[in-house]
Amino acid sequence: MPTTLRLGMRHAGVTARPVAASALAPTWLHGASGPATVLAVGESAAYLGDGSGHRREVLALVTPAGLLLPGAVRVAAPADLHALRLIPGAEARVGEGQVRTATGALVVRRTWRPRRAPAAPLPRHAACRAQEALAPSLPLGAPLGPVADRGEALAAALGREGAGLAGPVAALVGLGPGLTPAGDDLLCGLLLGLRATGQQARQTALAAALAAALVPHLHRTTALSATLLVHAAGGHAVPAVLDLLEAWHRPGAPAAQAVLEVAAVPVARLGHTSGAALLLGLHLALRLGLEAPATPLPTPDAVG
Amino acid sequence: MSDFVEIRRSTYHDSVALMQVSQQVRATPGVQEAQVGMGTELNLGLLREAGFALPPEVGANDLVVALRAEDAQTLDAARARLESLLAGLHERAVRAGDGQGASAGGAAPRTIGSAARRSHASIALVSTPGEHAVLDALDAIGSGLSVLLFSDNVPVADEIRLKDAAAARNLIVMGPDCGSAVVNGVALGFANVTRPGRIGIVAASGTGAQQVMSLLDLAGEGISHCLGLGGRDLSAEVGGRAARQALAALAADPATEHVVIVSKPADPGVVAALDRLADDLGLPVTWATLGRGRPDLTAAVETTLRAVGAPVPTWPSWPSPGHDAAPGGAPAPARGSALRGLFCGGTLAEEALVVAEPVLGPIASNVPLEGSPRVGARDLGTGPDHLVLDLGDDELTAGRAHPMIDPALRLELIRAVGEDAHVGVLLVDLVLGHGAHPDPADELAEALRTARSAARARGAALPVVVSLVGTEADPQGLGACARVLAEAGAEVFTSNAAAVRAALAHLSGRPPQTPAPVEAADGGMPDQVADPGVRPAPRPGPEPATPPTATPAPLGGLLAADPEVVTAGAGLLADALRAQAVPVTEVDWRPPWPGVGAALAKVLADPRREAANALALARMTAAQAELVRIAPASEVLGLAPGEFLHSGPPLTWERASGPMRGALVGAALVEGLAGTPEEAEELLAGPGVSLAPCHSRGAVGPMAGVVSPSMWMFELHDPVHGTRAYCSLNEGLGKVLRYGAYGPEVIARLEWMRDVLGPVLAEAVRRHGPVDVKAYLSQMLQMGDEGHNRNRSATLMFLRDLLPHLVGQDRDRADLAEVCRFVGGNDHFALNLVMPACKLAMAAAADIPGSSLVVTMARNGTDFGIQLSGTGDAWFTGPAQVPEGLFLGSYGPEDANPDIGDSAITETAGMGGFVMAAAPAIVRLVGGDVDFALSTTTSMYEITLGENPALQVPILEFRGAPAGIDAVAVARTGLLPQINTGMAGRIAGTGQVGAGLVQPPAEAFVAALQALAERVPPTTGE
Repeated sequence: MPTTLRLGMRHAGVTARPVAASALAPTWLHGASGPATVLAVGESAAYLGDGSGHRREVLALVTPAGLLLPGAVRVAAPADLHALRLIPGAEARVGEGQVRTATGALVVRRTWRPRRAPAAPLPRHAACRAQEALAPSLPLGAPLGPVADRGEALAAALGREGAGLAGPVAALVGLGPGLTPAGDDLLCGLLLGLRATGQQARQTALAAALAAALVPHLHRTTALSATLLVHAAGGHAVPAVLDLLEAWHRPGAPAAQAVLEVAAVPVARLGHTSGAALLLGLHLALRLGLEAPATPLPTPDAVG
Repeated sequence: MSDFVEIRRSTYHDSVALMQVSQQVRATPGVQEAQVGMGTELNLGLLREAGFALPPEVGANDLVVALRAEDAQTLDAARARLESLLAGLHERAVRAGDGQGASAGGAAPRTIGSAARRSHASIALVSTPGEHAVLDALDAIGSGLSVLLFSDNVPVADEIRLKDAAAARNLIVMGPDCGSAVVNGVALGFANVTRPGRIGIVAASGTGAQQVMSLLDLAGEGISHCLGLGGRDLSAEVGGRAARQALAALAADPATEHVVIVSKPADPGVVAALDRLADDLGLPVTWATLGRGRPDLTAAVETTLRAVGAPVPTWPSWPSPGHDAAPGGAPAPARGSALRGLFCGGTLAEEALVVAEPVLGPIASNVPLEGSPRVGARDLGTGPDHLVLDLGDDELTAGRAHPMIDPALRLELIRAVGEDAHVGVLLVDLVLGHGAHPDPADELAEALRTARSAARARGAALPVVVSLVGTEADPQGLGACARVLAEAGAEVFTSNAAAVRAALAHLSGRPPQTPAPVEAADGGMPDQVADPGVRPAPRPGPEPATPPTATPAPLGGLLAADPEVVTAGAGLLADALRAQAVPVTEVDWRPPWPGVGAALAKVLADPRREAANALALARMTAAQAELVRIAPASEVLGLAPGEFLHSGPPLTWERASGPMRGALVGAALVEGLAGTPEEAEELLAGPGVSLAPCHSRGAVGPMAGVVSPSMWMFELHDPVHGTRAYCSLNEGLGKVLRYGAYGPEVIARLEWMRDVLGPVLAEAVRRHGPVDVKAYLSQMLQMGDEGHNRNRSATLMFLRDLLPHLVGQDRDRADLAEVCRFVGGNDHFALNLVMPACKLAMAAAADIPGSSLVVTMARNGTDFGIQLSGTGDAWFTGPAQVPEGLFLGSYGPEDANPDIGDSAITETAGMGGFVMAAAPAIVRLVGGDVDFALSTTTSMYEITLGENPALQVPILEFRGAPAGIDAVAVARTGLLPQINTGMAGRIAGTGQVGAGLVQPPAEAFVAALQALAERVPPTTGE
């Protein structure tokens, strides 16, 4: 066909299908080609780990129906992902902007810019409304186990002048089963919630302190979860969480409460415990903002 | 010489695709003519002119293939080539349907609304033919999508209407005639691949925007977004509607630091207003508006670079290795003295005129500057005058693809220039990027070579200058294209203005002049004229921040998210998006029925429509149905002797079909109004009786649907809306009154029903209390019935519920046993409960002003009639069709009467044919196969307003039945509602002859939409 567009590039026997990489995609996607390990495969997404032996960020390949992680490579159609025939534990080659297996290849044709959570002070009445609307979706009882208590402990430390954060943070990082342990999800929620409730204010400083306290502990959780923690510290999250945070900032309307409650539902449904832990983190951030008297901020010295 | 003409019914491909097919078949050696196109009057006229013999019945929705070759063998080769090309198009359509669209249940979306429902798209790319594009854009806006309206030939009043409708929903319409946009790095339409960056572009000019973005990229600056406006947005009439939205959105966009506004000459008032707006928004802008005395686009880009503190580079150019000339050196004298500019880009042509006019004086063009000579678009003759043509102008693209896609016309003109002794220099542009021809340089280079050697052959030199707009990252590659062109003897410039000056240098024999700083010309432009227009504006706060109280994201968050796109029209544009890894849902677009366009436009623009339809659907699905009473029609409907109800729209005895007459005769006999059928006929033809539709009394009747005073009726009540609906008791199958039979056994059965069945069931219902019929509807779909031609499960559920109240009655046990046997033995008994239950749902949705919901579909054996919610009691009719299906015994199609009965109320309410997928066994009765049953249901979602959560289809993962036929969607998609039905014998007294599938006549929908359009209140300002 003389006039077909360059839909794909034939190379090494397989057609490379175009994909779009996040600006936050792992750098090894663009580095020299090397081995990668397939960590997990689903209908709508696959996660690849760096197979070089170095501990590096996880590469997520996501179709439109999948969970759009901030650093993901977007695959336009499910067939493009399925063409790779990925099997958990098997090897793929990643680098030079490409992902290849024996049966298929993806090539980065475009960079997409992930959304960021709003970083603006949240007026008191809006924070109250947001917190009330969160209540129906918050986990009750013990589904999160010790995560909830340790989250409270961290919140208490954040709320106390000069309290050290290292201990409470270390008690959460990597706590819980799964690819994204619930303790990390709670931390993500807390980081994002602090960002979305205050700018040039106490909350922002708390977020920075928390992020700083996190860094030394990132190696203690899964590579995927560590990636998400780093992104959360930068204000990046999956769309459902961003939608909720943006809804917090929308001017009040008669139905605002209901709108916020509805916005929390997709977050609650994330993963097995992830959504619940994220919401708990957001809840703690809102509470910190509402409780806060004008106390002095934790200084960098207090960290660690 | 051999001709071949073939008509392919109802085959639709977009025009660009078809033109490419024609072009490629024509390239087969020995083929003299190849035309593949839709059978529009215009196309047919052209073919007849060309001497092709066409069959008489060709419609605008048919694909016409006409081939002419020197011999039969060549013709066969051409046909084979054509087949493979059309198969390729088909494959592309299948592939498009194979994407996420198809996973929703098989059928590709037929409207933008449908595509929007099944994707997360934020924008629709509409490139359907101009006369339909407004409808598609309105559909997109109504579905919450911003629109890039690629189509041209959209009236300015419609443009304003669309832009206002979009703005009211926090959406934007880019266009019409908008060729270029970049949203978050995604090229929509024609656009270059640029690095992400800090400069936003707002563009009322497509190729102008491409020149600006390409130069910025070459300077190392990136683009945040490029928002298109359409060429008229900055006119006084449109008033910068889209530009205002675009500026506000870019001001709120964290990535954008500076904005360039690109336009052909704009209205000074609009420019001033936009300047004030930019000031208020704290957004620094540079104006790149072309015009006499205004800086060229390259100068505007340089101003922008200086404004953001970036260095201004030397714009890349490639000298020709040829012998004619070297840029900057002393050009060889050319024989001719005229400038020939052959452009694809309208703005590039205009810039050429602006730059060249001060040197050459007035220049003829098909798009001349004011006061310069205008030449007809096809008046491309040779002559001593300077001539610059825009080959992408509307006049030249009617009926053919834009020269950026199909370069054939321009290549022909370029070759011809070689023969023209007047020409002193040839200036052409070449625009690269997404959407443009995938490999344009080779063909262009070849044509340039041909022209130059033709010139050489007559002893002349023909210098060629190419303005090449593109980036290295473009699919075609800037450098690669430039080298190919330079090798063909052209000088290549990335700045269009520089290319024009190089061409002028060839004419003057002097090296290219760098432009003097531009002075204010006519005072029409505001103050940015002297210095080409930077409006530095202080940013509030120390860093670009989200505004303190965040309002809803501008343009519905269009600039924040990675785009997903719905496309309608040219498949090429969808392909270009897929090549960028953009999720695309492609609409399987077909033109709406002819003659309905004006009505559709009016109805779609009715501001009440959306809310009215939502209300109608909500009422329809909320309606309940309880059987509360069984009593004679004289009692429940107040029917007097001599009054008869019948199915379908109003009818007279004279126009009544055989089965309708038969049923009326039988009813007259049952009522004792006549002793013989002959007497009955005489009576019915006379003035003493009255005939009225069942629907006029809140009743429904299957087949002939004849109701007379003594017949017992089900009375159903909707406690939600307080309405009531009625239906007679079902007589069973075979020779029965409703199929037009009136023999002694028919009359005897009706008398038994009157004397025994009615009273017994009435007492059972009294004892039982209200019977929840709606629950039967939900349950029967789980049990393999669809409620129109399969009612077995509902019949048995009804019998199960009433049994205790039947056996407890103090009556003759034989009578009770016969009642049980009769009900249980008649698989259709519950049809007469399902129908009034459906009638209650539709009655709840009736009479909502502005709603295009179909509330009635009914047939009387002669006419098929529909009623809309928004048009009250009015009937819109067309001839009833003869169903296609399976026949009983020795009956055949010739025995069947046209469609008859009110039972299509089931389809109207989302049962029957609409839920065939829940009742695949139905195909053994009505014909077709299981696949057909599945695809019928999935395709009906394309014409319905929503889904009925109470009616779930198990095999579609319990998806709600397609509910609420939207007459607008029917007309736009050409998809007619699918009805399962029984077939009555054509001759009175025959009874049932079969069962099958039928559709309403299209004209009923056309008439209904025209009536609905007439009721749209005039909008303010009209």
